[in-house]
Amino acid sequence: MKDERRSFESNWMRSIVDAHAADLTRYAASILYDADGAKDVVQDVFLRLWQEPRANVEGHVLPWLFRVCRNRALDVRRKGGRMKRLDEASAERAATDAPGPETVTEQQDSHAQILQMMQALPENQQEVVRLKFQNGMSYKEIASVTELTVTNVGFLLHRAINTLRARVVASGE
Amino acid sequence: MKLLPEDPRLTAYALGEIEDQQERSAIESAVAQSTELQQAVAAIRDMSELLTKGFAAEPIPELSEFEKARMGQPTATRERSGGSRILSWPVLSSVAAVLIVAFVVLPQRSALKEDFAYQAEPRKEDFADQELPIESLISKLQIAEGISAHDDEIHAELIESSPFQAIARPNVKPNELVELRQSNPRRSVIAPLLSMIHSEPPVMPKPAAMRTLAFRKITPKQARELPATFNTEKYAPIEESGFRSPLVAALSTFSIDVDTASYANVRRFLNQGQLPPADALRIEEMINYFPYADAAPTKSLDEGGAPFAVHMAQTIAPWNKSHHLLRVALKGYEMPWEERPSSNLVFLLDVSGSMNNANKLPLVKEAMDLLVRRLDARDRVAVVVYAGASGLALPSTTANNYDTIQHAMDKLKAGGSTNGGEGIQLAYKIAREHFIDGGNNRVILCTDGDFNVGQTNSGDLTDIAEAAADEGISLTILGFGMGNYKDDLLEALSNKGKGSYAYVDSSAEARKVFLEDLTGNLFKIAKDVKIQVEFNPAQVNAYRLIGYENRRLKAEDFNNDKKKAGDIGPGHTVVALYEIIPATVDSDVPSVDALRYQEVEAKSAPGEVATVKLRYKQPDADVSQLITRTVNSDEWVRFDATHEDVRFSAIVAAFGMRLAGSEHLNGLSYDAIESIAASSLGIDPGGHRSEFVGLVRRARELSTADTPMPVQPHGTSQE
Repeated sequence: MKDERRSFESNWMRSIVDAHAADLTRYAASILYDADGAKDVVQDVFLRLWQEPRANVEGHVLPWLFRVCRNRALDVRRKGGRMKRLDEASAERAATDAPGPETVTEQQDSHAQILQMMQALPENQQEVVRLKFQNGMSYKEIASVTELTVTNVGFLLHRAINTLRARVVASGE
Repeated sequence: MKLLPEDPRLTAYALGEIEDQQERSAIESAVAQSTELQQAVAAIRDMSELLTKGFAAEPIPELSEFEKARMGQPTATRERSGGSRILSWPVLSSVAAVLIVAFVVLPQRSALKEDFAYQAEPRKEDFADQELPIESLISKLQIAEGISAHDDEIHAELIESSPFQAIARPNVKPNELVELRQSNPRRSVIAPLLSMIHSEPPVMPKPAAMRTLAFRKITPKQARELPATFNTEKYAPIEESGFRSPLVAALSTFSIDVDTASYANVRRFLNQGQLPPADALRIEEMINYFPYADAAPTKSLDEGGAPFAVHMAQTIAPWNKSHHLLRVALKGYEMPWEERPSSNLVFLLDVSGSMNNANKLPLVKEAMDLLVRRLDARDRVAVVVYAGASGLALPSTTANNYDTIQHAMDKLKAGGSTNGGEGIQLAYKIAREHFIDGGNNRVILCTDGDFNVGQTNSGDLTDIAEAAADEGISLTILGFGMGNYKDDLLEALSNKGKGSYAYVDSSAEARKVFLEDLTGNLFKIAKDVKIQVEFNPAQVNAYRLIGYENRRLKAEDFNNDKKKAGDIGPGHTVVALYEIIPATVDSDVPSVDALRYQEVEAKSAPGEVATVKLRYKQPDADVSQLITRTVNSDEWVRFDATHEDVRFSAIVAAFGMRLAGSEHLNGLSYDAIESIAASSLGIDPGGHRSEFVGLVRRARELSTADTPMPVQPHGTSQE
């Protein structure tokens, strides 16, 4: 029955949406720096998923979703032009500005600090760091999302972690 | 195996990413032999943990049930017949409109002060001197319109710009002109709510007309005086209120405002690459756009719970260390969907030709569909359309007759010119005929900016809305449209109509209006909510209410139950901020001499900064209730130690002041604003605060940009 199949597919979709929509939105937002734009991107991603034969994605839905999401978000960012990554902007700021009078308020906890340091990394490093530590992906999965080689991913992560370690040590002194 | 700490394989190993077993044991043994490597592995794992925790602390976007349901749909246009669609109401709690009132207290030492602490009676009308003389208003209007003072030309301009035939009548006097400008509700912008349903790429609408306001490198203040020949958007002038001494005006009185339109409009400007004109900045609407975590009352209304909770906080003004900020926040009861009152809704839809756009009418229909699916047999829905002719597209129908409603909506088509005059009368007539006692009776006007009402004049339209509001029928305005957007008119109309007014600048905003804020916009839990604050001159040198410029009330209106004020909906947060100059700090705020003929009995109230009084009525009551709270001088908290909601609302105010070129901001830079905002995000449900940080950055770029925006030639607006 078509209806049954549809409802079956629907339930499958729904479970995937429930499981990943929020993560994908956050990921898209990290590229777009626009929470609402991110939701639109994610909806597009799920539309694509509907069009994709299920057999093609089953078993690796997560990296598939993130890859499509990443491409779509990068597309939107390219077209939109208006959106700017938080990291780019804050890197600029870090480069040009002396600490302002409100720096004190920024000295929150170490979690916020590490995220701030992370935002000073090159974009490709930030991306793998995020996929690894926020989305818990393996090197392989990250490679599939970013269309890099596994070795490349390992290298980027390694560099990122070393840089962050050095900065944490420096900030503690 | 020889392994150096710089080897990426060590990181992979520490993170458990070496799949090859041989390789893994080789690394393992290398590490076992070297304390340097062991330390490196431990450090990598520490960093891994730190990052994992750091990321975990990052806010995760909250998706409503509806959004998830929408994401799970196979097509963008979604079929209606499939019964498997899961739509549940998002919990009503997500709407928080916060009113922030900031008072700045200036410390001024004058001989009078000690004698008049807490006067028993206000001696002078609070805001009398803030009303602009009519002449001044007219001259402002003329400047704004780029027209001369000659009557003929004023008429000509009115005729040209007004869809109201009647305005073309030959003898418009200057004071009538003012009245028209201020209250003319002929346009309402409602439309884009619907774009949420579409899955088009989230590209911001960029109609040519939007780009026509080019302010180059001029300050917002200058922009206000710029002849606005580029564009036909209209904003009522906003005069920022200055500091006042409690000895001159002991009472500050205003109506709450739950609107959010100004923020969405400001965002549109910034995203279009322009700084917004100063008159588009209603700071209270910017502050109240954001959800805040202030606790709501927990006891349900049926059990006699209060409709809202009152929260107060004092801190230091981030833009002036010697000034205090007083934040008064009302948080509406978060009514569960089942507790909602029965609704009698009449949609008044603009189906004129300009609505024939994928982002407009189809979206309106989708949004209505969403709404109707959430209603049931207790509720009624009717649809009135207006275009060349107005008509009843759907007689009032109980909401469980879904197919009937659906059928009527499917038949709606856009086309023809706008003639909303009969439409609005018909809508109110239907609402009246099916009035539900104690229910939610409401007309929901959806238009794209050409709300062309065939009333005899604009005043009539507001009169109709006001009269209907008196009968208990509220008006909600959902506006979208650009270029000929009439902000002043829509705001005035929704105020008279006692409803909320949301401006939709994008599909994202549509989502917020229809999903996150829907119950807040659709229901009310208290009406005529007024706030009056009395400052103690012994503690307060001077104070200033931030925003609410057009919501001021006379002091004596506070206790007058016949005087209307704003309503508050479920989950709304309303925040008001006062900037306060403490008595210990000098200021040059003008004072008055001691009165010679009146004796004012001073009450000693040591330690009291102010008394905050609130009046509200239950939705169906005529008599108001009073809530009184005292603010004590020892209750303030350092800015960096205060709650993130307090900080965030203060910094939104600062941003508004910055954009408006406020002299009170003391030169606080965009960078500082951004940095404070970024440190005050909290859990940021919906990501709105993060978006705000991006807007601050955008504003900074625009304010320092060397190349002016290209000026669009006049006459290319899209409408």
